[in-house]
Amino acid sequence: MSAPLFVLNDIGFAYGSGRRVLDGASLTLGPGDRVGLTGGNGAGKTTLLHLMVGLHKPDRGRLRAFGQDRVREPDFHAVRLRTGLLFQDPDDQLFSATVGEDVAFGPFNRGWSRDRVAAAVRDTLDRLGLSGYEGRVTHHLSHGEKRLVCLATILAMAPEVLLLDEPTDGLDADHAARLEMILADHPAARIIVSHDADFLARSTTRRLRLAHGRVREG
Amino acid sequence: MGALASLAPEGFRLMHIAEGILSPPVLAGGALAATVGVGIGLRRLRDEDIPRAAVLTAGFFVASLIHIPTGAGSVHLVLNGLMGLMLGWAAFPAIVVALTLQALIFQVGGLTVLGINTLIMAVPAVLVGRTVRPLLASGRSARTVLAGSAMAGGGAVALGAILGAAAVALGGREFHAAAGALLLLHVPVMLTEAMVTGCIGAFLHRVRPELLVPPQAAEPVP
Amino acid sequence: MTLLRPLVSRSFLARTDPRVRLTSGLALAILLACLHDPRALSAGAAAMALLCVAGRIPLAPLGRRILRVNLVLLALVPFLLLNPADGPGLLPRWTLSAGQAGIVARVLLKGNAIVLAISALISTIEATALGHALSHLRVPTKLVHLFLFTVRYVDVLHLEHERLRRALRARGFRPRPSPRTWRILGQTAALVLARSVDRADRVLAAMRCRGFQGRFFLLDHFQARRSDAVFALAMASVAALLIWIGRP
Ligand SMILES: Nc1ncnc2c1ncn2[C@@H]1O[C@H](COP(=O)(O)OP(=O)(O)OP(=O)(O)O)[C@@H](O)[C@H]1O
Ligand SMILES: [Mg+2]
Repeated sequence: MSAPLFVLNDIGFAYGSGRRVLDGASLTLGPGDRVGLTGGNGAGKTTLLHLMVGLHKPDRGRLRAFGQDRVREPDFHAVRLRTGLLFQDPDDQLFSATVGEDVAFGPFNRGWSRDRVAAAVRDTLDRLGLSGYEGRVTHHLSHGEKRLVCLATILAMAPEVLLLDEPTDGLDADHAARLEMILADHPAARIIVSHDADFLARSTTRRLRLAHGRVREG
Repeated sequence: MGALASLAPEGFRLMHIAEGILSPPVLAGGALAATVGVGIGLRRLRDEDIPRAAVLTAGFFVASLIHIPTGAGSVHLVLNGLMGLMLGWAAFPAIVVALTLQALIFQVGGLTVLGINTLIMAVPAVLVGRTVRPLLASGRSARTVLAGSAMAGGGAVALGAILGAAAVALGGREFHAAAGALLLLHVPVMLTEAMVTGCIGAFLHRVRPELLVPPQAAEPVP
Repeated sequence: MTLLRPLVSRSFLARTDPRVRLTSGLALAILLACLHDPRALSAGAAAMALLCVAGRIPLAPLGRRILRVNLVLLALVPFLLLNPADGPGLLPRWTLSAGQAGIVARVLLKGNAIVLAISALISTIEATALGHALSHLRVPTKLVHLFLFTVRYVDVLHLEHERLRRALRARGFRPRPSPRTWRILGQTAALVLARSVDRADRVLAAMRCRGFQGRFFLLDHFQARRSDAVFALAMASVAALLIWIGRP
C-alpha cells in the first residue's frame, strides 16, 4: 500500500471558547480514496476540511499531510498548492473580476510560466464545458455557473487531493450531472461533504460520518 | 452639491461638490493633496489587507445607501467618520474607490472633482478616527461608546462640510453666500449622522468590538 | 438587481478600447473644467452632446443624470446672485450684474459639458474593464486591486442588505422618523459591515488555499486597433478646437 496523503490523529478543535466542534477526530486518506463525509448541520464537516489545509489549527492531535507533520502556517502553503478545497459559498471563492483571472490565480501562485498558466486555464475551462468564459465577469454569473467556475479554479492547479464542501448544493440536475461526470474522471483522491446520499453512493467508495466531534465509518 | 442634494432624485449623494462649480486651481490642489493621502493610505496597506479593506469599502458603500427618514425628507449616511475609525489611513484609498464607483453609478459626474471630494470625506475620517478611537476601546462603557461614535459620525460630517464650504468659497466673493448655505444645510445631515453612527458604534461594540477599533499593530498573517 | 449598471451603448463607443475612452474622457473633462470662455464651453457642451447622440447613449438614464446635475446647479444659482451687504448692518441683496450672469452661465455650461463628456466616454465602460484600464494607466496596482475587489463584492453585499431589509419588513418594520428607526437602521448598517468583514476573512482564506502569498495578477484584456487611434485623434481635435475657441 502506498503512503497516505492525509493522516489526522485524535484532532481536537473549538472556536474560541465555544463548544468543542472536533473532539478526537481521526481520519486517513490514501491515494485514490473517494470518501463521502456526512453529518448533521453544525457537526463540524466544514471545520474539518478547513483544518486539513490549515485555515484553523487544531488544539490537540496530529495532522500529517503528504508525508510530513503540518503544524504552523508556513507548513501549510505546500499543502494548499496540492489540495483543492471547494468552499461552500462560491462568492467566497471567486474574488477576481473575470473568470479567466480567477482560474489563473492558483496556477500563478504555483509559479507556473504565463504560457503554462494560459494553457491550464483554457484546458480546464474546456473540460468543464466553460469554453469562452475567460472574459466573463464573475459576479454576473449564475449560481450554478459560479460553482462550476469554482471547481475550475481548483482543478486548474492540478491538485492531488480534492476537498469538496457540498459541491452539488444549489445546482440543477443538469449542472449536478455535469459536475458528477467531471469528478468521476478526475484521478485525485477526495473527501466529498454532502447531504445527498444518492450522490455520495454514486461518487464515493467509502462513507464516513462526523458526529460528536468524532469520525466513524458508515 | 451638499445637502442641496435632497432636491435631486434617488441616489444623489451628500458631501459631494458637483462638476462645474470649483475653479481649476482648487480642483488641482484637491487632486494633488488627495493623491498624497491616497499614497500614504496605500503604503500602509499590505497586500494581504486588500481583501478586507475592499470588502469593507463595498460594505460602507452599501450601508451608505440606506435611507434615513428625518421627518423632513430622508438622507443617506455618509459614514466617513466610521470609515476613519475602522480603516485609519486606508480610509483615503477606500473613499477614492467608493467615490469612483459612485460617479459610475449615480453619475453626478464626479471626476474632475474626485480629488477634492475625496479630501472632503477622507481628511475628517482620518482626523476623527485618531481623536475618537481611545473612547471606543473594549473596556469602555456602552454609553461612552455611543457618545464617541456619535461624535465621530457627526464630527466627520461637520468637518467635511466646512472643507467643502471652504472649497466653494475659494471660487471668489460671488460664491460666499453659496458656501454659507452649504454649511447650514449640512446641520440636519450632521445630526442624523451622529445619531445613526452612535447606534452603529454601540451595536458593533456589543457584538464585534474588535471591528470598531481594529488592533493598530499589523497582525501577523495567520 | 445589480448596482453597477454602466450606460450601455451599442455603437462605436462600446467598441472603442476602454483605455482610449478613459484617457480621452479624463482629458476632455479636465480641459472643460479649466475653460473659462462661455463660447468655448458652449461649443464643448454641444460637442459632447453630439457625441452622446452619435454614440447612441440611452436617453432615459442620460436624461436623468443631466436633470440631476442641473437641479444641483440651479439650486446654487440664487446664492450666486445674492450679493453680500456693502456696509455693516445691511442685509445681503439680490443683484444681477454682468459678472454674476457670466459666472452663472459658466457654472451651468461647465457642469453640463463635463457630465456629458463623462457619460459618453467613461460611464460606458464596464466597471471591471475600467479597473483594467486604470492598471494600464499606471494607477498603483494596490489601488486597482482594491477597486476591482470592491466592484466584485458590492453586489454580493447589496444582496445581503436587501435580504436584511426584507426580513425587517416581513416582521412589520416601517421606517419612520423616530429614534427606534434610527437605532434599527444603525444596526442594519452595522450588520452589513460585520458581514463584510466576515466575508473578507473567508475570501482571504479561500485565496490562501490557492497559494496566495500577497501577490496579485491581472491578465491582459485589451487590443488597440486602428479605429481606436482614429477615435483618439478625433477627440484630440475636439480638444484643440475648444482650446482655440477659448483662446484669450
Ligand atoms: N467562525 C466560527 N466561529 C464560531 N463558531 C463557528 C464558526 N464557524 C462554525 N462555527 C460553529 O462550529 C460548528 C461546526 O460548524 P461547521 O460549519 O463545521 O458545520 P458543518 O458540519 O459544515 O455544518 P453544515 O452542514 O450546516 O454546513 C457549528 O456549531 C458552528 O456554529
Ligand atoms: Mg458546512
